[in-house]
Amino acid sequence: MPEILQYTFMQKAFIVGLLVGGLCPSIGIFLVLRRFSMVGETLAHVSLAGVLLGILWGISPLPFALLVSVLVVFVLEKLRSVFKNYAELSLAIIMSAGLGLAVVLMGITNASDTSISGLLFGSIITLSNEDILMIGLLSFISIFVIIYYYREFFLLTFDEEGARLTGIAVDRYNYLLLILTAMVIAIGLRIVGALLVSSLMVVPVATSLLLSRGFKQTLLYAVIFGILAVLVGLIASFYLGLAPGGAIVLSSVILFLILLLGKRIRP
Amino acid sequence: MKEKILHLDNVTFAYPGNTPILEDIELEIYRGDFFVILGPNGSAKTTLLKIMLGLLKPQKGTLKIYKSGIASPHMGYLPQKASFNQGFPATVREVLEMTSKKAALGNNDQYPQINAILEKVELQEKSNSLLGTLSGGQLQRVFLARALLNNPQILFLDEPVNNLDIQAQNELYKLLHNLHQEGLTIITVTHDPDSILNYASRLLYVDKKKITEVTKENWGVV
Amino acid sequence: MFNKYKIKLLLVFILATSLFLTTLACTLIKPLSSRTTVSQSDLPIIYTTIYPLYDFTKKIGGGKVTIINVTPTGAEPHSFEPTSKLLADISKADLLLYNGDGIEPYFEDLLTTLQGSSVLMIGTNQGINLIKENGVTDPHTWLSPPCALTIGENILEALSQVDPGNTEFYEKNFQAFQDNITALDQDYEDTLAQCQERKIVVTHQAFNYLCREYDLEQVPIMGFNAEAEPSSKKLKEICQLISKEKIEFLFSEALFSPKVAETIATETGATILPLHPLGSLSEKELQGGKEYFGIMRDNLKSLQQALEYKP
Repeated sequence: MPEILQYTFMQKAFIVGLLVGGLCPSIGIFLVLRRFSMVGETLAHVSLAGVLLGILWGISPLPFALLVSVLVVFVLEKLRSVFKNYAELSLAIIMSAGLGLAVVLMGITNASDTSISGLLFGSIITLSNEDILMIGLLSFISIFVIIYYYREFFLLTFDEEGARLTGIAVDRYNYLLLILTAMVIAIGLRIVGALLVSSLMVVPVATSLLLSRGFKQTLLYAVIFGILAVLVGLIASFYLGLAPGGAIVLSSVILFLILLLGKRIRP
Repeated sequence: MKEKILHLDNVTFAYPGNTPILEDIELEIYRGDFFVILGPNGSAKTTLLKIMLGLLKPQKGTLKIYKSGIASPHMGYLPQKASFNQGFPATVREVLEMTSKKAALGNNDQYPQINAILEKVELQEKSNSLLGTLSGGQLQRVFLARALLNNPQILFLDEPVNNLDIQAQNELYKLLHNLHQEGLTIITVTHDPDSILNYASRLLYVDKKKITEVTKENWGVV
Repeated sequence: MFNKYKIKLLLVFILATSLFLTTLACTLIKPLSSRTTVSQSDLPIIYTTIYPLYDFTKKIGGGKVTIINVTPTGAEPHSFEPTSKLLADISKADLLLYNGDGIEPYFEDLLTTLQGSSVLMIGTNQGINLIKENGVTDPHTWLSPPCALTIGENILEALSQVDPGNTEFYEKNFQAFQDNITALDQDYEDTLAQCQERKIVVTHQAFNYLCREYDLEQVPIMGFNAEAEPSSKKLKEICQLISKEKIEFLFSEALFSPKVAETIATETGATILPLHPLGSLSEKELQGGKEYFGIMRDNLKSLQQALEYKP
């Protein structure tokens, strides 16, 4: 067995990492195609504030952050219908609120630098068995929902008005999609941190779109690219001593650039 | 004897907070009609269509849909602008399979029907092409195919040829004609009466809150 | 553009935000201060930057001074950022006692802000032979009892300067302090001389001075300032070291997340013992009556167990 797999903390990191690497792009594809890429970033900042609040008030951080994110999702949707032409602006406002609150809370909770860096950049070496259980459970739920409602999400993303006309409860599925995003972010926060989780949802999808295939294939490749990035990132962090979150995201960007180059060379 | 399929009875409609844009509308649609709705821009043509589709509720009067012996008439709808992004990575076939509920679940029985529709709109060769590689006319035919998926008896179209060149326009009209010959009732809105009048059976003119049916003799004038 | 309605809205907004932020700050930040009543304003006001300085000053200054620690209870000194209000308060005080060798990340700001103000600023590490590694100075001097004595001497001198009328009082307290230090030093010397092992695996690199004094070797998981989580590569190296040298114990520290130590413990089967770096104390610890000497003795017990004390 290769050295990297001999350590239980690396084994745990790989289990969670591969789950996250596949899950993030699965939701990311719907966000990117609906031009909602910034939602990931917004919810990540809100989750950060949620985790810090949880730490401050002594409530279990992950479920609390999820709760806060879900509440924000409802606020977001309300704002979106009010600010129809400025959907991006409402996102920016909420993102600012989340980040601002998070920064203030960082000063107040007196959390050590390590815990803060863990929240911002991911903390793969400190995964407890409870963490893995919770992540596994949330992942399972997320995967199940995505598969079950795959058709509705597709139609919603493809043509929202048309979907509405075929009788699909567009608003309800909108909410569901965003709640799923919040869930996936809460899960991904552990591995790559709040600053980078949104990238893991978006970059593998961008890479897959370069391949110009049908929808099913685009989704499949996005998942593969996500998992690949996590694999390479974790290996690099182990042998080269690099921060894992950054290594993972950089790997996904390099993969994107390679494919982009490949496309240019043989059009 | 012509079978009545849709009846607008004394309908008045106004958008909330505005004055009525349609007043005391009386209209009967018969099975087998190829119905063209004409009028200057902003004349509530689309509104009239949406009322007939049941998407908008009139303040006064009623919409009656007549159930024939078979079943209540299914309606297909091709809206004016699809909220759709050209770069969406899906093939023609994928769009149709996803739209058809049964096919999405992997039920193979739907495939012959999808293939038949693809043939009807002359897109069989393009069935595995990405939407982004299609021309405007071909894209419109994809949306038409989508509307035909649940076997509609009435097909509503809102300005279907707006951004198409003459050749694509004619191709689409021919398609509609074929469908009409096969028994489909067609109701379409357009602001530019052109070669569609070769295929239409009835013509309605909408202007200033009123509708006027124009008889065939006077079509050249319009 | 600016009509009455918009101005009202703006005022409401400013009020709401200030209220929100003030509530947050007041309910959540707990200052460490020896001030018991407000009417002690005639006593000299002394600010200390870290807990050891606060504790020593309290022991030497007694009830004749008011001491406020810059870092609030439970805050980690390496990452604390003082507010501008706090800096303003310090500028109006009589004395500021600081470490100055890297434990206060805001030290530069402190110097520039307080330039020209009347507060007397004294560095407490004067006279200590500082340890430098890769050009960076290790500030954790107080964990070596002899160095702690030097710090105490500097504090005594500072107090005499600020409040010369009570010099005799301070010297008497200092004598008691010195006796305690001597006893502590002796205990450490005797106990650690009889220990078989010399290597200690610690969470962050705080124990250089302690190790130098009693001939131990420190293996830190994180650096001086414990900023980021160690990489998995670093973790692997430590695990390898622990298994190679058959080390059975490793140390976790109060204010740092024990998770990293726990991961290593799970991986290697080592047992975790507490070792307090004394940079800051939590609310609970303070209320439990913990102070420098007590904690140093607790540390000695942990070291004794880990290093296989065989009398």
